[in-house]
Amino acid sequence: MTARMSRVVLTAMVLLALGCGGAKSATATSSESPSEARLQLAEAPAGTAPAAAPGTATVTGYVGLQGTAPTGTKVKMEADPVCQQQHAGGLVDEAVLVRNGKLANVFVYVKEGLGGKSFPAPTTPATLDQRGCWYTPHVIGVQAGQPLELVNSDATLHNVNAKPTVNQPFNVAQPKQGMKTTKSFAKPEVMVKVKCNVHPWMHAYVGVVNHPFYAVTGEEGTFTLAGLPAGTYTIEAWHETLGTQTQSVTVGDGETKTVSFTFQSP
Amino acid sequence: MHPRLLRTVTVIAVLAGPASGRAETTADLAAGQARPNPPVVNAQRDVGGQAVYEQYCARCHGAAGAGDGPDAAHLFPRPRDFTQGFSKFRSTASGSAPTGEDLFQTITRGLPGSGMPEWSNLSEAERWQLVAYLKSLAPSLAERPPQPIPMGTDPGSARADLAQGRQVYAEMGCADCHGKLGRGNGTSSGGLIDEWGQPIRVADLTKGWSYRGGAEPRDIYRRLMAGIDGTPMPSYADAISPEDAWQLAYYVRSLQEPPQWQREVLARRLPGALPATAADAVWATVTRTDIPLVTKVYQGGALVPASITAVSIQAVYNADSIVFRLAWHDRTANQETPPDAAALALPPDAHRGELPGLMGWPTASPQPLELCLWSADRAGAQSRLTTTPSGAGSAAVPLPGEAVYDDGRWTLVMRRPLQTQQLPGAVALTHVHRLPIAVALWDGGNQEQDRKRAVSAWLDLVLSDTVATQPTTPGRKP
Repeated sequence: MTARMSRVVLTAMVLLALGCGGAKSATATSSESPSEARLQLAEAPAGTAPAAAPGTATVTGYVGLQGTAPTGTKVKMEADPVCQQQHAGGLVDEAVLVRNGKLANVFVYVKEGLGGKSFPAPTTPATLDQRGCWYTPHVIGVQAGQPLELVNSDATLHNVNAKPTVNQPFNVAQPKQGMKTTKSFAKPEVMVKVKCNVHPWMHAYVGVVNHPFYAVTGEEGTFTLAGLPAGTYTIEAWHETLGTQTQSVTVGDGETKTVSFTFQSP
Repeated sequence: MHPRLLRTVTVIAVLAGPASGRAETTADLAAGQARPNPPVVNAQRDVGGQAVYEQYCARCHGAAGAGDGPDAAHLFPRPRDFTQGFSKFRSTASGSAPTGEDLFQTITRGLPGSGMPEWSNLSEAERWQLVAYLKSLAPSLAERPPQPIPMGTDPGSARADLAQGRQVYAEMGCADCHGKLGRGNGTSSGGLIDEWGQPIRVADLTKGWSYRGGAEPRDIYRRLMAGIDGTPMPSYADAISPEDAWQLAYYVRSLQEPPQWQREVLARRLPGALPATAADAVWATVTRTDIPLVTKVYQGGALVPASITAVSIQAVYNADSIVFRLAWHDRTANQETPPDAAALALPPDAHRGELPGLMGWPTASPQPLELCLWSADRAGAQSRLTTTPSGAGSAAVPLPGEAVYDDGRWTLVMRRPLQTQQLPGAVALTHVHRLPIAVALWDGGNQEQDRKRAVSAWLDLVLSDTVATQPTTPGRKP
């Protein structure tokens, strides 16, 4: 199995496992549609502000890359045999992950247009897994206040060093396999970088927004933001090395509009 | 001496601060003695605190607290940038604000191993005013109030279970960074960067005197549970029970090797053969002298600190030769360019008067020194009379011995004849009671070579029982 493939499979596994979690990718073939998942998310726990009425509008599209993707860098993990054993064929860090011109690991979300509507944070945790000395998924979205479960699936020490600028930072150790720590970010922040100092190649990004209208592109480069109220929105696409792009879209009740982004290869 | 180096020495001297009061302070803490309640001060921006800050703190920490005062560039670790709201030494959960008491203690005790002196000479009222002022410099701290870590129950030394502590050390992955024996040489200890983008070194747990946040079990427990925010050291509060954390804290304290700081190296005379190896049993019977090293090195005007902070020296001699044993911690063994290396410096025979400090040597018109040189890329050490750190181009006398690298520590043994005709001008040790010696060490893993190295001050080699009579003492700089 190539390193790239193993990552893809891992990503898919986790996305499947996430189900109604934050990372909604078009590659996840859950029986639930994304909007159904979101309705479930929007169920407010007792005592919180009432949820805004879910809408019926949808914004969908894909993120592409023009030009040739830069080649990834081989990860040197000799220092930790536990990591190396899980990547017999080596591991390549592909910051720009492209398949057929489509770009994965792009965080797409509604940046503006929801006004003062409030969307209570889901109580279902999103999960950021450390598996094979790699964060899975590499990019994840959560709602502000939503639990984020940090899992160590490796039989080695990881630390999760979150470096937000708006939210409260933390740096926690997870020395044992199977360990789980639950954290949350109180305020919207795109993006929060998370890294492991024990394995300096490990890093992930958490997009924190105060509504459920976000997605992370998978291998097909597609995204779907469903259940939106009718309105005019600024949609932003964020990529860790290629930067951000925004587009405006107006969508009515029951409508589906397509918005696509194309990043330029550096 | 280079003007900048002179200035640096002055800074060190000033920062060394008052030495009195530390023992008392530490004892207070160990006893868990309660401090008096802080006086009520205006937490927003205390005018008194600002005045104290400007007088004592701003030269390093900067007028606005951004860690960019005029002296900051000469310090490693760099002075804290207070404005970002990271606080390293806390009794509170990772990411939450420190308590006022945490800040008060840091000011009072200083941060050993860094340029931050203790400020116990300030009145308690002034220190509390500073605490209030520091809080005002990082408004974001107010949004994440202190969440105290559970302190559990200190079992005390008598009930500390070091075997359990050792097991917890292994289970928690401490060795990944700190090394199996705590020498700061774990597999993940290289190339670490702190939150401010500055290089940061893993603590050498054997050097209790350089633990920034204090070396007592209570201090270590807090670092484990709270983490050291802004650095790679995470909080173990979710990973470990308070009971295990206390056992680990006592185990970490047991890794500390109390330093034998002395200004003299007492060479012991042996009746017969001298040891040829680093592991010879005789070394266990010989007085050891530990020497702190100066690590300030400037390249192109920028501070590029050397990494080796201390060396242990022993010496034995007989009627023919003297054997030196040097031991120091180095994260990695480097045979490649640049290699790890060591030099023991002696004044030449004809030398009288002041000796140049090794830190500035060689100067523009250098005085020659005898260097007993070892380099990891060559078999065997050599002695040379030279005016360059590498000794290049000068005549060499081989020095038998060995260098052994074991889990983060080099041990070097070099045998020099008391007198030698092969090296004209070299000092004859047959006639001396006391002789100045100094040490320079290069860490190849830190790209150290030539003038980039850690150096000791001159200290006295004392041969208690001279081989011949009529002792002479070449001059030395006090």
